[in-house]
Amino acid sequence: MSYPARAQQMQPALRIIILTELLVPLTLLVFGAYHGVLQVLYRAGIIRATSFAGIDYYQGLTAHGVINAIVLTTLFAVALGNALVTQELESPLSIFGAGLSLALMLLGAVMAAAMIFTGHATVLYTFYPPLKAHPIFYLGLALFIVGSWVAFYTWIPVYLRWRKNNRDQKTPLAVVGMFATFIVWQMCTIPVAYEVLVMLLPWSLGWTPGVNVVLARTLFWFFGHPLVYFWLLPIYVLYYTMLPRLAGGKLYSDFAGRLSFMAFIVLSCPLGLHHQFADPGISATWKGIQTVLTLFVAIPSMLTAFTLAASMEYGARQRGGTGLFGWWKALPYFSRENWLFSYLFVGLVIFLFGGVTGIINASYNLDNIVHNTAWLPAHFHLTVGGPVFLGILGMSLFLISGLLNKPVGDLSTAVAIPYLWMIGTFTFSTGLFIGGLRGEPRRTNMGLTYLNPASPSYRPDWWTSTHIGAIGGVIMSLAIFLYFVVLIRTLLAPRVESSEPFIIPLSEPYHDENVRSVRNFTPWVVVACVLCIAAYYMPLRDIVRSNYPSAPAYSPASAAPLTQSTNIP
Amino acid sequence: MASSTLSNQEGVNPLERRVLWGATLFTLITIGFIAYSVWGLGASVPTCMNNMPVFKHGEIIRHDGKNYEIHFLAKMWKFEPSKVIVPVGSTLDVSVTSKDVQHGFQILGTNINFMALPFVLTTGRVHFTKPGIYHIVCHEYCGAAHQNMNAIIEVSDKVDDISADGLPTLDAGRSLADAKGCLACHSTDGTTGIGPSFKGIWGQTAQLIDGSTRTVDAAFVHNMILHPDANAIKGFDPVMPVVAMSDDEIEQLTEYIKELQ
Repeated sequence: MSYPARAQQMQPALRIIILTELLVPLTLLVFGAYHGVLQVLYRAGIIRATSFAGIDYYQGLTAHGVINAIVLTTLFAVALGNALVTQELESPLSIFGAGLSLALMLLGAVMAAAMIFTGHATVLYTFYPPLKAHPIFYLGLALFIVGSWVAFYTWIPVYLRWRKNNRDQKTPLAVVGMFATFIVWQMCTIPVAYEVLVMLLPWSLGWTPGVNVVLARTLFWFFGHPLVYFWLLPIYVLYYTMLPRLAGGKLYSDFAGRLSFMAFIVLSCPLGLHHQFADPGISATWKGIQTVLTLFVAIPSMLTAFTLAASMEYGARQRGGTGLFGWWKALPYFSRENWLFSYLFVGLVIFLFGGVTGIINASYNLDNIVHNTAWLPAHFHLTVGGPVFLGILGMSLFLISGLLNKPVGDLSTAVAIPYLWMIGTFTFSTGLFIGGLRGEPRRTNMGLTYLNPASPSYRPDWWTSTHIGAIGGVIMSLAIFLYFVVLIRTLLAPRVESSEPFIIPLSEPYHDENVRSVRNFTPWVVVACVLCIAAYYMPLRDIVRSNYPSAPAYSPASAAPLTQSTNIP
Repeated sequence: MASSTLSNQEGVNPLERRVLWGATLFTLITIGFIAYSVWGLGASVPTCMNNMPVFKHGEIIRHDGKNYEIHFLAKMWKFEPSKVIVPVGSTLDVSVTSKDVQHGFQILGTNINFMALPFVLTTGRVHFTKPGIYHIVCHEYCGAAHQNMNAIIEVSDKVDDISADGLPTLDAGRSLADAKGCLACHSTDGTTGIGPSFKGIWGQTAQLIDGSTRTVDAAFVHNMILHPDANAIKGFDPVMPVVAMSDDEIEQLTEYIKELQ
C-alpha cells in the first residue's frame, strides 16, 4: 500500500474542537432547515402572511442562507481540514490556533445569528447595500471569516515542516485538496472583508454618509462565486479520497485529483462578474471575458466526472461487476456497512444536473432569461443543496460516530436518507426550474401577492410550479428530520471500547502518475493572482472612476432613508 | 491551459488525456455558440453607461413613429410608471434606475432582465410584435413589501399611441395643487397673491418671520406643509393652514414646484 493506514491517536483537545465544529452548525441547521420548508409554503401561497410563528419571511430567508450556506459549510470545511491535515501529515496541530479559530467562528456566528433572530439584519445573506443591517451583524460575519483564516494558518507550518522532512514524497492528496480549498478561500475573502470592514461597518455605524453600491456588489461577487467552490472543494476531497475506497476500489488517477485542485485555485476567483450580467456600470466586454474564464471550469469538472466514474467502475469490477455497463449493478448503493457511499454517490447524481444548469447560468445572454428567477435557487439546490449538503451530512455523521466511538444509530435509515433527499431536491428543483422560466422571482414572499387570489397581482399560471416546489421542499424536510433522528440516536448510543484509533479511510491511487507541475502550489497561485488582476483591474477602474454618489442607508421596513446623504446632487 | 501539463515524462494516462481534450473542445464549442448568439443574433447583456445622467422620476418620451423611450424609476415598492400601454409593433428603449435600494426589473417574455441600482442606468431595447400583457416583476429583495412591486406593459392592437399610468406629470401636480387649495393663494405665473407665487420660488432663499433664512428645497416644502406656523415667511400674513397630504402627495407637489422654476 502506498498509503499506509496512519495509526496515530488524535489529540484529545483537537477531537473536542472538531466535534464542536460539526455539532454546532448541525444544531443551527434545525433553524436553517425549518425556514427552508416554510419558504416553499409561503411561496406556494399555502402560508399567506408576512410572518409565521414570530419570524418574518425575509428574516427566515436570511437565517436560511447564513446558517446553511455560510456557517454550516465553513465550519465543516475547517473541521474536515483539521482532521485530514493532522492524520495525513502525521502531526499534531496547534491547539491554541485551532481553538482560537473555533472561538472566533462561534463568536461571529452567534453575533450574526442574534442580529438575524432579533430582526436587526433582515438583509439576506448577500447583505446588499443600501439596505442596512445592525453593525454587529457585519462584525460577526467578519470575525467568522477571520476565524476560518486562523484555522488555515495553523495548518501551514505543519505542512511546511512535513515538506522539509519528506522531500521525495508527494503531499497526500487529501491535504492538497484542503489546501486548495483554503487558498481559494483566502484569495476570495479579502475583497469581501474590505467590503464589510471598510465600506459597510463604518457606514452602518453612521461614520460615513453612504456607500458605493456598484463597488459593493462587485466586491461581493468577487467573493460570491469562489464561495461556491469553497463549498464544493471539501466535497471533492471526499470524492477523490474516500468514494473510490467506499466503492470497493482505488482512485483511478492521482494526477486527475491534483490537476483538478490546482485548476480550481486558478479558476475560482477571476469570474465573479457572471453573477452581474444584469448589472449596470460594468462593460459587456468584461462580462464576456469572465464568461470565457467561467466556462473553462468545465474542464476540471469533466475530468473529475470521468475519474470518479472510472474509479467506481474499478471498484465495481473488484466487487464482481461485469459487462460494458453491467458493472453499475455491483456498487454498494444500499450497503449498511458502506453507508457513507450512498451520501457521496447520490450527491454526484444530483450534481450532474447542478453542473449542467450551472453552464446555462454562466452562458452570458442566457442569463437574460433566468436572472434572479426561481431558476437560480433550483440550480444551487442541486449543487450546494445536493453534493455539498449530502457530503456534509454523511461525513459529519461519519466523523461524529468515529470520534465518539459510537456506532451509527439505525443504519437502514441512514442509508435511505440521501435517496429521499434526492427525490425531494429533484421535485423541488423541477418546480422552481419551471417557475423560473415562467418568470417567478426568487427571494419573494409570493403567498401575499402573486399566489394570493385576492391580490391584484395574482398569477394563476404560477400555481402548479410553486406547488411542485412545495411538495419537494416537504420531502426534503422529511429527509432532514430522519437525519436528526439518526444523529440523536448515534449521540445517545453507548460508547464502544476500542483500542484502534479512529482513522478516516482513504483510497489508494490506481494510476499514480508522477507529474511534477501539479505538485507545487506556487506557480498555480501566481497564475491565479495574475488572472484576478487581469480580469478585475479594468472593471474596478471603471467603477471607481465613475464616482457614483454614495447611497444613504435604508431599513427594509421603510421607503424613507435612515440618513440623508450629503452627497446626492 | 491544462495541456501544458501533459508533456511530462512519466505521462498522463491516455484516456485522461482524451477526456481533457474532449472537455476543452466542449468548452470551446459552448463559447462559440455564445459568440454566435452575441454577434450573429444580437442578444447581449447590459453594459456600462456611466456618461448618462440619471433621471429622478419615470417618464415616457415619444420618438418618431412607434419608437418610444421609457424611463422606469424603481422605488420601494413600486415602479413609475406602473402601467404602460403601447401599440403593437412598438420599439421601446427602456432605461431603469432606482430611487433608493437595489431592485430587479424583468419584462417577462422578453430579453430585458436588469438590476435597478441607485445612481446608475441600465438600458436595453425591446420590440413588441405580439399583443398581450407583459408582466414586470421586481426580482431583487428590496425590503418588507418587495412582493408587491410589479408593473405591466400592455401591447395592444387597439391603440395608436403610448399611454401610461402612475407617472408624476406636471398636469398631475397642478391638479393636486388645485385640489388641495394651494392655488387659491399661490399663483403659478409669478404674480404675488396672499402667499408667494410657486413660479421661480424653487431654490430661492426665503427669509422667515423669526429672522432666519431657508433655501426652498424638498425639505423646506415638506416642513412648510406639515408646520406652516413655524415657517411663516417675512412679508406675508402667517395664515397658511395645515393641509392634510400624504408623503407621496407632498413629493408630487414638490416636483410640480420644481418644474415651475
